[in-house]
Amino acid sequence: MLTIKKTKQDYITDTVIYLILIVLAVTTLIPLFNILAVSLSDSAKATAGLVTVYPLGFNMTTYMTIFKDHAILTAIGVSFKRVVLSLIVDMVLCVLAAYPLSRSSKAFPFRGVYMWIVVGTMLFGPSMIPMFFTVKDLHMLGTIWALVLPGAVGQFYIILMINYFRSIPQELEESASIDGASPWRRLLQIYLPLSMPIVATIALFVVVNNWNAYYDGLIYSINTDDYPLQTYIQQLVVNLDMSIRDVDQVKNMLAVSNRSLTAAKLVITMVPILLIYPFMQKYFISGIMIGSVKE
Amino acid sequence: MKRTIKTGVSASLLVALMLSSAACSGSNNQASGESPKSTAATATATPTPAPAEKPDPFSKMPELVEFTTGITLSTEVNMPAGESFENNDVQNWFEENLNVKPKLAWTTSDQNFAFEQKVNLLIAANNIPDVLTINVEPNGLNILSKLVKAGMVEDLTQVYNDYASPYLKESMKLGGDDVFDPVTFDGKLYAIPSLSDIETAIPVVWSRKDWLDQAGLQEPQTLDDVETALKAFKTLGKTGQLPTQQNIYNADTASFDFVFGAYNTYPGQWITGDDGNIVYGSIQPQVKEALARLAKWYSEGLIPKDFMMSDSNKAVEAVAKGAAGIFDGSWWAPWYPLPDSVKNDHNANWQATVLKGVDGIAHARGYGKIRSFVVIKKGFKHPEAIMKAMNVAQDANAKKLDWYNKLTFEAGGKYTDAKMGLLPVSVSAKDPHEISNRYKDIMAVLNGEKDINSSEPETQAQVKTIQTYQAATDKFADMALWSGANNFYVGAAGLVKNPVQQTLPAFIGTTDLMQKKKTALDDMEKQTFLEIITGKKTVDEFDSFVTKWKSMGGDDITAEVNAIAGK
Amino acid sequence: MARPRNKEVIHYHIMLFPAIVMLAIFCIYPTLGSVMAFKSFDPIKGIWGSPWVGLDNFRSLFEIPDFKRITVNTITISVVKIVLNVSCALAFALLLNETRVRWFKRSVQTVVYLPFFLSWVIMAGIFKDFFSVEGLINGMITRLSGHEPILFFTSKAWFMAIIYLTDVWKGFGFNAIVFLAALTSINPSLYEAAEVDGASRWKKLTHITLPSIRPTIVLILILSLQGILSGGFDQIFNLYNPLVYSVSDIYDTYIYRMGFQNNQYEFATAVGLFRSAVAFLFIFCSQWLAEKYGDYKVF
Repeated sequence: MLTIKKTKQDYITDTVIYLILIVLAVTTLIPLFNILAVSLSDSAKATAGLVTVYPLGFNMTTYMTIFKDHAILTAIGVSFKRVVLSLIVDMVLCVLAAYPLSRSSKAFPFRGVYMWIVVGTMLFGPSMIPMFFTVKDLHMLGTIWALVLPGAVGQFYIILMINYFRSIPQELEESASIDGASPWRRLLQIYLPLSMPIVATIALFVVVNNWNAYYDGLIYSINTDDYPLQTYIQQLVVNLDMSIRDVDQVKNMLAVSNRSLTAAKLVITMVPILLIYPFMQKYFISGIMIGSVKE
Repeated sequence: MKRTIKTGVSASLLVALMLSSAACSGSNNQASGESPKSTAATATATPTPAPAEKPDPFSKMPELVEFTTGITLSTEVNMPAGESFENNDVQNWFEENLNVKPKLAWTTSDQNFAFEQKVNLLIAANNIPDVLTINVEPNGLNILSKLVKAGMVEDLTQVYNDYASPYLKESMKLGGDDVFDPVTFDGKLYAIPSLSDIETAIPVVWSRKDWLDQAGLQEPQTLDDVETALKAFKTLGKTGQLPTQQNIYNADTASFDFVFGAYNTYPGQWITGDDGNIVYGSIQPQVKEALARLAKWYSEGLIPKDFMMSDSNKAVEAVAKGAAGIFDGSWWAPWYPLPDSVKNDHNANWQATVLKGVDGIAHARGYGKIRSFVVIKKGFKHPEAIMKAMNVAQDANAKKLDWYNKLTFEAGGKYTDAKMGLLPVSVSAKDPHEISNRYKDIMAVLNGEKDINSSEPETQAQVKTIQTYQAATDKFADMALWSGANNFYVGAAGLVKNPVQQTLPAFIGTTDLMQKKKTALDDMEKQTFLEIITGKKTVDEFDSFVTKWKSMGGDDITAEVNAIAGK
Repeated sequence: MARPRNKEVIHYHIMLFPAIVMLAIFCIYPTLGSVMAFKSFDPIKGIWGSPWVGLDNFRSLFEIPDFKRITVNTITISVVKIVLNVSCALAFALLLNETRVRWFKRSVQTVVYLPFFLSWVIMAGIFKDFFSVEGLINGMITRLSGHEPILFFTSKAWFMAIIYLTDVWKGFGFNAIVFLAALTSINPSLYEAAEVDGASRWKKLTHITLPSIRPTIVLILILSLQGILSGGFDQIFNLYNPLVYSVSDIYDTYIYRMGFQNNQYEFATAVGLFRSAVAFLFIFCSQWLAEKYGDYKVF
């Protein structure tokens, strides 16, 4: 690699660069440590805003509470179900749509029309009420499908995937089609195995977006048991003040002001994402790179 | 990549719509909150054709009447295993004795107005359940007017006249002659309201007696006293600041309501002016005086410099931390935010009072007597069955039913800690001065002036709580007990130390012009008030604000409000 | 080759069928419901049966006293955010690319993308603490310089600085991943040749690195534009206050506040349509610019 000797100036530059990067990394971590510390602290201390980046009055009661809490466990279940189903549906739709669209207009004369549909729907989306009516008329309210299907076609993912397919050398395909392979076999046996980086990248997007989505859970639910985790969490964290509460409302509100419990729930919410990313990171980088190169 | 990932619906627009209620007339310019007609149907309304059989408010329906409804569920719900809103002893009682049974169409969270949002969506989809209970806050009356205009709810005038129990009718009268106005449209009653006490709205000044003693001061009685105490606390090494949140008025905790109250002025409310017309509170000259006082406090450091960034939870952190010794709260502050304060410092001794105003009289704002109401879907076959259930609910809420008290109220009852309402449909008409009257009743028993057995069940329970607390060796072992005991013993006591004159709103709800113009007016008001308080503008800016407010549509809205209220 | 074979084309149609059906049901059909913006919505009659009101809803949109200001804010904030996000991510990627210790590079990279996954609701609470009068930042300012605490949230200039800063903080790590990938794919022999010629770090940056990743920069800029005018609600809503409305109010925050009074879905739909149209214009122009100057085509 580099054999050229470093000058004194280079060392100074390096030190500055490392320092900047370390500061950046630390500032990024502080809020995360703060949440973790609050979740492990005594709730009175936490509510008083005394906790910084290490726990005060260390205890795990919040986590014990969560694992006995029917509502949050149900919500976690809904979220997992949603992520898994979305992963399957979205990936199938995306791969199947991207392959024909990655053909040239010569090989697939209607490509342009389909492409217009994909890009057009990406730019102009529906507004809330008609969307709600559609989901309701399909009798999907309160079902997991209301969370999975409306956003199942990711136009942006399709574009990434098209670009990736196009980066795969033509010769491979040509030799295969001479052998008389159908488009399905070409897709499944040649293209897909070579496209794992982009598949992993899109899978990560799908997982993260579905895991983090909260608003559709609120709108398309029938019962509070239908809430996915982020919807449930949102109800705890966002606090739209009622101007005047009466004493009964205040009594029921108590748990909401329990900061350490809320923090513990936030930690739980982040854990799956934090666990998945390192495994996906390797594929992710090459996937996003090649997927986004120009046609 | 962060903005490139497309979800099915634009999430931010959705969020923007969170509080939007159902669609409705964009152009036909009728006032959409035009409810109050003083000729409203009341309990003594027009004679109606006699029903075939004599209506009995409590008789069993000949056949089972099922109705669908939607409710909120707290994340804290704590029902016995296997039981639910649809299936529990209370519901069974209604089924056996009235033949009425609720069916849950949906549930929502009890936070962030999720319920109101669901109702709005369902109105837009023309898909409301048979029976709905809607809170007036934040825009319940607006929703009601939409329901009425869209013809989606039943006219309940006759059902109420025929089937409401004498006790319910009598209790409604406690609210005054105009109590049905907000839910009456063209002389027809479209909803059965619940009346709550009006005293919860009174801003109470909470102060720490232990610190006042150290400083050699008495409990503050006036704004000047508050100022003195804050400065004295600072010399004791505390912050000497008043916990304050971004909503500077009309908020139950850590607002400036007590300051405005001291000047007998009520920003954000429609009140009756000196000439009898309805005027808007925010543009009254006394507001200017109150703002001048607040600006002075801000410049002297008695108000946190960045209070406009805090919600009430954030503002009261100072209370929990032991940094603040005075704050504005409600009478129920022993439930929130005081527990965290006494948990962190057992010596914290909080006392409550309502300040005397600049004229020596304690003034306070109020709110509309109606806090929620029940509507019945148009075309529902047996509205009288719902009315009967409401009759029982009123008795239950007044603690008049032993079986219900045993299940839901008394210590150790099956549902005492269930944290959800179990009545199939609830209505409650209470004495507007329930809290202070209850307090006097409790104290009479505690002082031995009255026999506990002859007092009402609620009084008995509160007395027992206080006595249990007083007998406890560790006062802080059970914080629910601490809160329950101190709520009346200290909190309600604060409401009666100085006799309070409450100013109730002369108009609630929204009008068509308000829908169009009030957001801009409110923005301007908030900016101006904050700029004056923080010293960015002088207090004289208030005068030009008033002029602008009037010309930007405020005068037109005022005229509309007066026209609707029929003054 | 590449002569269309009919048999294959049929398979292509079949492959696209599921996605197109889903788009038709969940995108195209409900999007047609946007005609609500031209109607007075009556729940009993539904979207299609409600009476037409022409441009009334748009008229009330333009009647909002601050409409112009809000439009300017929305565009300014979106554009500045995009530019800052892209340039900061690029700068960070370049810095990180200068380091040679692999584990360090990896760890920093892994850490800085984390905020991207956290919601604004959580972050806003933390930032409010950070920049408050008694917060960490003001603590350092007063201790180090003896300066009075800065009221970050009440000064318009400071507030916008915070909006941009926190937005960058949250997003730069994620965008940087793409730049880093582009940087690592630059042929090392280019650098080696340059070093033999004795080129400085700066020279290498301006003559090799930046030109090599130009397409990636353009790509990121363009992709960022897609969400223009719709981003930022969660952030601004959770951080702003009335003193800074005049500089920070965007369409969504205004509509939200209006929701307390105005509750009209057709009006909100009108805003959505208007915003889509403006956004479309932006994207169209940027595509054209990118094709002309960046030699780049996205779709």
